[in-house]
Amino acid sequence: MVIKVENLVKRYGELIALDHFNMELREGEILGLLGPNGSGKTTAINCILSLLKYDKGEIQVFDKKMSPVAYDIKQDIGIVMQNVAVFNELTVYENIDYFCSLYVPDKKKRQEMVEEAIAFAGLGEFRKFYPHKLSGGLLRRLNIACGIAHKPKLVILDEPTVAVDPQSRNNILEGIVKLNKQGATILYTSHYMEEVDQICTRIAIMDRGKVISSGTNEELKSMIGLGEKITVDVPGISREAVEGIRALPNISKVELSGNTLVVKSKKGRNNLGAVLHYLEDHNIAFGKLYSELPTLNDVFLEITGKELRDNV
Amino acid sequence: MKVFSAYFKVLRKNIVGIAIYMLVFLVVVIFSTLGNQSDETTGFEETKTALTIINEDGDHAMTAGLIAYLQEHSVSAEVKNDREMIQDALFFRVTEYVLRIPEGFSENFGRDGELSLEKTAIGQSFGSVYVDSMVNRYLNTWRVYQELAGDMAPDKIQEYVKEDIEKEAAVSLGSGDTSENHGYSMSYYFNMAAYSTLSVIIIGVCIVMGSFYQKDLKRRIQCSPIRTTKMNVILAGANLIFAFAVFALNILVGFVIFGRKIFSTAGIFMCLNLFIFTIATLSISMLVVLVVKSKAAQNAAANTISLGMCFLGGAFVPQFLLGDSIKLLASFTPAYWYIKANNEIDLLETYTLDTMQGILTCYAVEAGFAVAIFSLALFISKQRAMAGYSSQGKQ
Amino acid sequence: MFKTIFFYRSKALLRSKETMFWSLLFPMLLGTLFYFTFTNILEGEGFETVPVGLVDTGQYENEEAFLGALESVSGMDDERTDEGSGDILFNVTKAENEEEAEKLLSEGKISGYILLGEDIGLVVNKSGYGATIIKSFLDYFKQKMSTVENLMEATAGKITPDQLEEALQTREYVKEIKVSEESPNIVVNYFYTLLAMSCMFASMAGVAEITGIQANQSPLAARLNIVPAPKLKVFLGSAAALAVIQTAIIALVFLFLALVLRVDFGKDYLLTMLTNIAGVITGISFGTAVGAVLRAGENLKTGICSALVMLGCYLAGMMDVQMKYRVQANMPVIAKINPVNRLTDAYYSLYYYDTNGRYWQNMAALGIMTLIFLTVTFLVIRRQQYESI
Repeated sequence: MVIKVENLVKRYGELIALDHFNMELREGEILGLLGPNGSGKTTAINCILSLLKYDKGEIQVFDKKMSPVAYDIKQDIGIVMQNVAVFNELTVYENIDYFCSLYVPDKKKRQEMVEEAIAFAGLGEFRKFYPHKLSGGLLRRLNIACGIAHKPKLVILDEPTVAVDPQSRNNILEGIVKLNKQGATILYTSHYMEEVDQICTRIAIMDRGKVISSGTNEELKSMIGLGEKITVDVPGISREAVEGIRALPNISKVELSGNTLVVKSKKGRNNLGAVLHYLEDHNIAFGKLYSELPTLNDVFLEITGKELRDNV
Repeated sequence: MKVFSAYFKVLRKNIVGIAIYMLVFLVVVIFSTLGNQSDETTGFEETKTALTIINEDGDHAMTAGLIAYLQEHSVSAEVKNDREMIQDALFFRVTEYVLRIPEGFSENFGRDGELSLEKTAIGQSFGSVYVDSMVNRYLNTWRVYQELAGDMAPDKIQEYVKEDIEKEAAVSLGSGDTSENHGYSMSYYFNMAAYSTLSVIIIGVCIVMGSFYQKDLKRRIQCSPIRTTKMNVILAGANLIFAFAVFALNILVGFVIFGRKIFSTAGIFMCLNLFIFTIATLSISMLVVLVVKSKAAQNAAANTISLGMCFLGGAFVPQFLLGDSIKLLASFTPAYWYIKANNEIDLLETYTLDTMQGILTCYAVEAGFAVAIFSLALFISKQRAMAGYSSQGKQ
Repeated sequence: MFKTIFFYRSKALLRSKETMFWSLLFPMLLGTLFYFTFTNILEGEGFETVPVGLVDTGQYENEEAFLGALESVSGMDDERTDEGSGDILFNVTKAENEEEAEKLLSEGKISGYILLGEDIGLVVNKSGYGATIIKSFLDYFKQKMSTVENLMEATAGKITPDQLEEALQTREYVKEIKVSEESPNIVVNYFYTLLAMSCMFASMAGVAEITGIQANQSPLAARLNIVPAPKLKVFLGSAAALAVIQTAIIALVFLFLALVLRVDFGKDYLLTMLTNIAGVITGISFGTAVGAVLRAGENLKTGICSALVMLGCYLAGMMDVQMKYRVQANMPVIAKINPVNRLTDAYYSLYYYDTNGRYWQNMAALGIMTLIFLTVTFLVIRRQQYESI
């Protein structure tokens, strides 16, 4: 077990930031920690890193108790903070070298690592640039390079793609997968569903300071009983026909509003055929027709509710 | 007036720091004023120098008379006759003046091979010059009797000398309103107040305006439909209120020290003077915050400007001691005119347009500085807004 | 690791050009100002001619002698000179009567007026430089007159005016003996406090250093809290770089004072440099202690640091050297624990004493202060977990 957190409680005065938070991260995983703003993701990470005091709970990293002086554990952790943390007076190369030096004293070995990190982050042509000359995306990539240059076994990334353009974001996400393939275990927090959907092998959804649901994304989707959603334009469909569709197997819900019929299925991916057959068999004319698989976004909204969270 | 209220929100967040700053500088001003008390009393009390006499000459009437005379007009400080002890005593000001009367001094007095007294003192301080003159007067007078009065007995000479050198001119007070002249010096207080005013206002303005001049915030403000000039005027107005608070505090402290004296004619003119100077200081601060950007450098700037101006202008070192060239240089700072005005007000007894001319000139020059520096700040800020700050890069 | 941190921190510091520029420029600027201010005072150029009024009622018996004496040190109002140099002590304005003199006095046109009635009198409104000068002149004249009268009486008028004139020539009876090779000179104290102030201003950078390592103060600091090394090590590497850079700045300021402005620092420049280093380290550790103990924003901490340093400078005699002695006499404890005062004394000892006992005493005191500041700093930053970030 790379990280094991049991019953973690953290209070900020009256506010309970973490309420019996439990989490496990197994070797080789990419765990997405998903949750709305203010759900406690960053607090959880800061506790895991022993930056924050917490009120209750057990935290183990690499099967050892984590503490501020557990330098052997820290040696194998790479961290990419939510806020860019680099020296403004040092160049791209110098920044990466500086942070790497805190882990790897050997100069020659380090030189290789820094070069690799620069290549990894695609910062080759910017090595002599100062941070304030970098675009937002490049700055984020520098932030990541500083966190992973020393080849840590565990990489924690706290919303590394905030305010990043799509190109840089893809580059970053691909990089994370690459890191994972090279053997790093990854804890990744985000509130972008697509990202987590795209790269994570397992997902934990957090809200109000605790994990409310976790599993692979398939597991999560099925857990909330959501399947395919079929939308079809049917001008002048009869009431009988609607009932007929509702009676088809696996169909959970049929709604008609105006000329648009929305059919939701319980599970499976082949319900479109059944609906299509039914319409053809009963000679019902139809226009535009499409089918959508549920996204993690649907799952997320379903589980956490739809209200805005920032002002909670 | 959102800008306006935002200013005071930022100010309120930083009030503890500014208050501590203010407190420290007020302590400096108050300490100095209270410590400076004796200089202003009208009674010509002599300042008694801490004096150490080492007598190796024995018990001659002349030496004994000299010692008695000196001791009457100084404070005795006992120091062991040892080089290192004397060095230490002088270093720590246990004594200010060590006078050694060498063996055979009185015997050879007035003859060939006359000996000198040996003094060791701390520089050319007023006290040391005073002791020098006492010694010289006593001995010169003695010598006149010894040379001219034939074989007058030493005891008799001693009597005459004592009578002579104790003679003093009678001093009386003019008919002017002298009741104000007792106690602590008001002009000294106001001169010192230049220091606290400069330090506190420059630092305070740097702290608060620093928030408004953060790069992104500044850009956002520039994008708003408020015109740069209007924005600057609003901020200047807010700064003005802050500056006025500092001014009021200075006056309040003045009131605590001087009581109603601060509302005398001289007091009112000095308050007015301080007010104009406060405004001039404000425009300096607005210039500093535009030119000096890093926090550490702003602190250094505040200290350098306040210290520099106060030295140059004569707040710490009296203006009459400054040379002409330095005064010329100083006249390019508002502090010089402020202090000059205070000193002149202090001397004045009757206030007519005629006698006030010098003071009014000082007021006008200070105000001129305020306007000129503020215009310069406005100009720079406008230039910057147009240049778009592009060279600053981004982050 | 220490080496790399040290190397990169130095690099980063050297690249903050604005801060470097100002921290070098300001002390030099102030030093130059001091130089001009005090050179003038020492050369005595600044003494002003005292404007004095004269009301002569014609009743004074030694009127002629007095007017002669007065004339020899004055420019009378018809031949008034504006050059305040040379022997001219007074600018005399003759007034017809007391009312007229009174008017001149109240308008501030004269410092006081001499009233020649049956006796010599002086009328002033307040004491001050001018009044003191007039009074000592009058005292001196009266004393001489008294001597002459007494002599005439004792010798029954046998003395010729020539004899009298010769005897009345004054002689200097006091010879200055230097207690050390350097004559004690108060003015150097101003420059020493200036250099001490510059050293202590390293405290501002010390505050920033502490902010840079406390996780609850900045993201970069948080980042540095999760490296596999004790915080102390990171801090020391970083602080050492700061000390070296600051010492270099102070060295330049010192050389400027010593070589360009010709301020006398005694002979042992190596020991003066050692004092500079001690000063910088005391300054930085003072800053880190303030930064660690206070729970406030960096702005506020820096402000407090700067205010405290200025207070220290004031008590060490920067604005008025007499303050130093007043503190020494009345509150010796304050003088002992004021690092600016200790630094100033250390510089002064090198200049003034021919042995270094007093110097090492001050250096030891600075060492103890630094030790205390550092202990406080370490005790606080050792606390490596935070309530909130």
